[in-house]
Amino acid sequence: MNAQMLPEHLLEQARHLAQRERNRPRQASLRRAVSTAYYALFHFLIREATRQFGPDLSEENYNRVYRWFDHGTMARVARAFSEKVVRIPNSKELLLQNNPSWIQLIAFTFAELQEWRHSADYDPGAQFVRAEVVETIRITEHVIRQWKTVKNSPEVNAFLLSLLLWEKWGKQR
Amino acid sequence: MNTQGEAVYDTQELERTLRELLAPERLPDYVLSARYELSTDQYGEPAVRIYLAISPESDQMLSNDKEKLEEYSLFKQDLARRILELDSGYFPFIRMVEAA
Repeated sequence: MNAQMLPEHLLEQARHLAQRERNRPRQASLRRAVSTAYYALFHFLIREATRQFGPDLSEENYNRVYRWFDHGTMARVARAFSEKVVRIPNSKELLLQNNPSWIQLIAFTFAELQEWRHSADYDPGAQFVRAEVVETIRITEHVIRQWKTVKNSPEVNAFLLSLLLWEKWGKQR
Repeated sequence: MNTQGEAVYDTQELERTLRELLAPERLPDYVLSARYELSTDQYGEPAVRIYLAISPESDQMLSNDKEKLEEYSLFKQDLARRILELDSGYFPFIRMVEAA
């Protein structure tokens, strides 16, 4: 599968774009860095969810499952998992009573990056500073690097499953 | 209640907390000023956008100082956590911008 390293390579590209100019960075470079960092995390989460729930899929079926994910649902999930207590959508029931801070961080970073990507790609008035972009890329790298140590927890499974089936948690029968 | 019959959060408490959290003495020393806007995200969900103004020199300094940048990150995470804990439904989007 040629795209298996896509998240890591996108992140490397984001880092390069953020540091492209020596002194005053161009807004174009910072905008592309934000957008690229978002897609790194987007592809990373989809890759990990697909691997976790369909580990032996053929390449063709892996690619089909990959396309089931969408930005809007993932944003809603990211907002919900940024909190310590995660509630089932449209319900008073709790999904997680004590969401680990590590998942809160990755979810918050995703929600933030997605919103910034929207500004970076569509808002001509948006302005970014290099320090913020560099730090967000560093956090994204950090959570991707730490992934192996936490990926088999029940909370991570709930998070990954939610990225695909968020509305289904509220289904009664 | 809004038109969909959902409870509308009273933003007074949120705004009071924001003013406290963004008081000059609570901000890192390189932040010249802070402001917030209550708005929505790209999907129309409630959002609070917080802008921390810094100088170009501070941007350059922070970009090259990993320790300071990590401190900023912790400050931002703490700010976001405090806002989320209010359970207002307003999601925080916090970032530094260049001072006018």
